[in-house]
Amino acid sequence: MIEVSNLTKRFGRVLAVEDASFSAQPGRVTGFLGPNGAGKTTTLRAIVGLLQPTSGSATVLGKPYRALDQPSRCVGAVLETSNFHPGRSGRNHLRVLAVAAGIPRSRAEDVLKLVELDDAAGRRVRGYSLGMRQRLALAGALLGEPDVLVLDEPANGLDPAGIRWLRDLLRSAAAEGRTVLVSSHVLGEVSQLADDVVIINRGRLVTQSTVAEVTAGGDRTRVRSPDVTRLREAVAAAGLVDREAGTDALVVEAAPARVGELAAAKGIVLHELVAEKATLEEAFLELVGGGG
Amino acid sequence: MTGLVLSELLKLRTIRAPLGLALAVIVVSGLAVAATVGADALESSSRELDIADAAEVSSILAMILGILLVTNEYRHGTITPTFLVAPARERVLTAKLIAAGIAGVLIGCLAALVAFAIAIPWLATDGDSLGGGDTQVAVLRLVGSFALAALIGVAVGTLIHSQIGAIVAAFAWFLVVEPLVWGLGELVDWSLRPYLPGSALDALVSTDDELLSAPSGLLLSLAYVGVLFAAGTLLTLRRDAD
Repeated sequence: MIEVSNLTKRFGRVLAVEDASFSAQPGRVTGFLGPNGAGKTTTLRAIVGLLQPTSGSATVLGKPYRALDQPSRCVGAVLETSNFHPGRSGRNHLRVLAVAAGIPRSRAEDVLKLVELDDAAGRRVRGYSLGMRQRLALAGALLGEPDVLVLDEPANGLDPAGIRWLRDLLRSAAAEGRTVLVSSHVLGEVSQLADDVVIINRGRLVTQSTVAEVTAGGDRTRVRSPDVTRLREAVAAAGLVDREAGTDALVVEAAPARVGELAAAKGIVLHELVAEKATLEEAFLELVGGGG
Repeated sequence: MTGLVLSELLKLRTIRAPLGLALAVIVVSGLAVAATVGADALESSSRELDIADAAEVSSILAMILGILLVTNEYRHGTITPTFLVAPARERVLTAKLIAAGIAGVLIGCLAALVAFAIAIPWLATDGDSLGGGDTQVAVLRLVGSFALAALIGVAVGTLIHSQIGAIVAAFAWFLVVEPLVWGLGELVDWSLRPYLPGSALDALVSTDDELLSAPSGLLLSLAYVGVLFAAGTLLTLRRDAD
């Protein structure tokens, strides 16, 4: 459980986050979305106590991060991909963290296996690819078997197989009842992964809701016909809104059944009749007002 | 706290720089002692202390080790996971201070070992014998000066997070500014000179009458560590971690 209340963070004259309030619930993956520079990283760093909010608060499991008794056992965080000494091996990086947190060193081996990095564990991080560094950072977050995961763009640098692996890992973490808050600017990733979304733009919260709600919108049908002019007249006569989609197709704001019935009544031949769902990307662009 | 100190020691053991610094201490102190003994420059009342004084030249490397222990974290961004594991930053910095003290003692022992491994047999061939109580005191003082230098390094690092900045500042102060003040002192006679940090540190192993006594030098050096470290810790607590 993560709760952000009226969080504001100002860096000099720049207002990075302004009065943001949202929460991330246990057992769910919450996608934290926003264009570059929207204030995602600032918010996440405030949640884990690395930044002092100018006003407002962020709590994890009901407490400010710095007040947690054993933070590594409560919260695992991945904030940047490059938080490693290049001359230290992946295994030793994890041991350093484990010893500081009072976690048995053997746990380093467990998480190395979990992130499929055990083969490279003895090598210096200098030689790691971006994807391997992401996995190592994730291994560090998982050391204390925390109930809450806070991840900033964890899919950066992962190949498609890695992204799929990450998705499965985070889904199963949520299925075990953990709270997962994951930021991203790649919307396709999030729509397949998240249950809830929090959208932030220029430091302000745009919306918090479920992915289903954000992408629901109204019924929409894509229809293709050799006689698109007559079809258009029939749609307009029924009082429906449409827009052209190529020379022989329309997108109509109605369910496929309704469009099909209209065409049948007028004896219009159809070549295609498909229900269209708004994608998270469309919903997102609409909410943050275009290009971002 | 024990876990944090062990973690800091593990940080030093799992990178190469401390090993390189230790080797440099062996070479630099070894050469300095050989030069002093070879030049027959052991004239003061305590030849043991003169040898320690020569070996102490590399204590600046212990200071750099202390600086690295803090500034490496900022340079490579590992300060983020470090503060995530232990959000009480003053505890992390205190652990670094303790770990640096331990590392300073170890490097100091290395310097002492090299110094007397060179000096004792060398002087023995001339019929001189070293060893006994005076040697033990000299070794103790030498080791203490290395430990103190490492503590000062940590304190400097907490104040100056930039690695290059902190190292340049330490070199500039201890190797340029203070010697210059002493050099100019011939002209301006400045009675505060023995109270400068480098001079206080030197007092531990020096027989120079112009410096403070060893106990006074020790206390003053500790005071410098305390003030710098407290200021650096306050800064670290108030700043955002990056």
